[in-house]
Amino acid sequence: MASPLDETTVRHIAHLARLAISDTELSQYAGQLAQVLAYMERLKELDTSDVLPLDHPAISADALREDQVVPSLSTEHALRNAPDRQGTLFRCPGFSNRTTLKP
Amino acid sequence: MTLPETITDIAARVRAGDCSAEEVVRRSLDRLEEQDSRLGAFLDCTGERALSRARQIDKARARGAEVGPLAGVPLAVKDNICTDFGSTSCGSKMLAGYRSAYNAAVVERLEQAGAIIVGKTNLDEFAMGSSTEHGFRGATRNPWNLQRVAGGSSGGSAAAVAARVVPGALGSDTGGSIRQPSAHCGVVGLKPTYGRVSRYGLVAFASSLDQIGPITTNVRDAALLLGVIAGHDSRDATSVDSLAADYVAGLDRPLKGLRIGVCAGGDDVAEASDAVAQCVAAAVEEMRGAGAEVVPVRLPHSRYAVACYYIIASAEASSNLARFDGVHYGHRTDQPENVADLYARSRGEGFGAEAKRRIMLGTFVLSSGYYDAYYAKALKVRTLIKRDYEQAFSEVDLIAGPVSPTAAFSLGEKTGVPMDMYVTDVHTIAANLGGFCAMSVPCGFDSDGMPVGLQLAGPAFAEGRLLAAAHQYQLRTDYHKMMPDTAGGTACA
Repeated sequence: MASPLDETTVRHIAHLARLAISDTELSQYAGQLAQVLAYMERLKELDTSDVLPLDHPAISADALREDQVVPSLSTEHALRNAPDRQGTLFRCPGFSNRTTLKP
Repeated sequence: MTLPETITDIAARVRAGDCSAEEVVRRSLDRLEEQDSRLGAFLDCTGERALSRARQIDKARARGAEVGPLAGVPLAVKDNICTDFGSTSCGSKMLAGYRSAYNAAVVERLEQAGAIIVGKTNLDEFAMGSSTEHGFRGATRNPWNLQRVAGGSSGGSAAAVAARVVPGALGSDTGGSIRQPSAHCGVVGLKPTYGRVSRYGLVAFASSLDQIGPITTNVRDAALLLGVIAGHDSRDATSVDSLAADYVAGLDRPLKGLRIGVCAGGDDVAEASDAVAQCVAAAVEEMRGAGAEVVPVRLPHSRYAVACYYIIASAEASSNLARFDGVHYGHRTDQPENVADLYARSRGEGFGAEAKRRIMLGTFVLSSGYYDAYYAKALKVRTLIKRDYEQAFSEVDLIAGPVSPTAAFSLGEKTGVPMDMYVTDVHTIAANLGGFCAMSVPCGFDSDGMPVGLQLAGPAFAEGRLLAAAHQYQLRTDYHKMMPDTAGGTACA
């Protein structure tokens, strides 16, 4: 059976994951991921039609607490690893291609 | 007078004033400097701060103040656990130079108890790996044989403890990342029950699987460390709202009458080399000789555990690692054209190969058209695996088996074919999928002189039972007292 993870799909997945990868990486990952996915196929041996999914082992996933105002990170602390900033703001490029935004 | 070596002895003697915290910490830093160029166990040394804190402890003790149950104990912390001092790089170029603004809950608890953190340890990038070869600063080497891996992903912590640079360390375990390196390095490692230890400040890999735990040279020290780091924390909504037990006080419970389950075979989990199988069988026999009852158990869905785990863990990783976008912190690419380009190139440059593979695998299994066939299916298989163990734990108190199919493999042996690496996690991942507790205890050596680990797994919140059984085993064996030559000249006090 052909793997659903061919190079076209891997390129699409990399785009969805916002990962820029080179052509060399692409062909390497496509081969490796196809092999991993082939191993996953064994799950299809199991009939799970009457089994409920388990997404979390937590004993109490609905822990509630009082909504109280407590100190949190200061602005300076929150910004101290910023790659670029302007005053008290994180600075990054706009959504449109900068070269198309000529006045 | 010789300085003490174990956590228990160091804390007792510092508290009694028999030795100073400064001497003990200085020795740890000396060993780090002497050994780490060979081992590559540490990503950062926080020596200045450690010495300053040691002197504070000594002064506090001198004036009669309470200095805590871990007074003066030098410890190492895996570099995916946030500290507001030193690095928190997760072994990734993405977080090279990152400085956390806060301490993880476990770091607060250790320091409140008087422990002194001497450095941050190496790991597979974002804890994704089973060999500590996938970090941006290179591999950690096994102190027992420098050509072998230390195991992973907490390989730096396990190697540092095995080489006696520190008497204990923290690791994190998402699919065996505490237990497997502990087995490969001949030390004790415990993955607590999901919710037993706060994950606040642990950089998330797979949030439904991750748990922080201790790595030590002996079980008593693991019990002591677990008692300090366990307990409720309102900043982690999954942390359990119940008091942790006094794990040290419970260590005297005898093996007599304990029902130990051993996999009956035929379930595809007997996968272990002859050497590993022999060591594990001998350990079970030792416990039987001390009065434990050995009962065969079936775990019929074990052959699906690796597939189930890598789908779920990768799916959660792809979501958790979406936060690394080059905007708020972490690596940012040069001269981005626009914000989409900023995201894609920052991530493409910042993440290593294994992290990228997992992000893509996770994105794929969550994507439209494949979600039901892979992710939703894996969640149902997770239920079946958890049920297997619950059924077994209704018949036995603990389950004994191997930690890893073989002792530590050679550096580079499995890096080319990811699936070869993934299947080595076959024995450890069920405890994460089901949220149970499990630990690794040294139980022998293979013909190359590499350590082998015995895994003891217990139901949720049975850490006390696990630790007691492991302690009783260590009272009857000497494997945990063996040290690699690289730790030579440091005989136990």
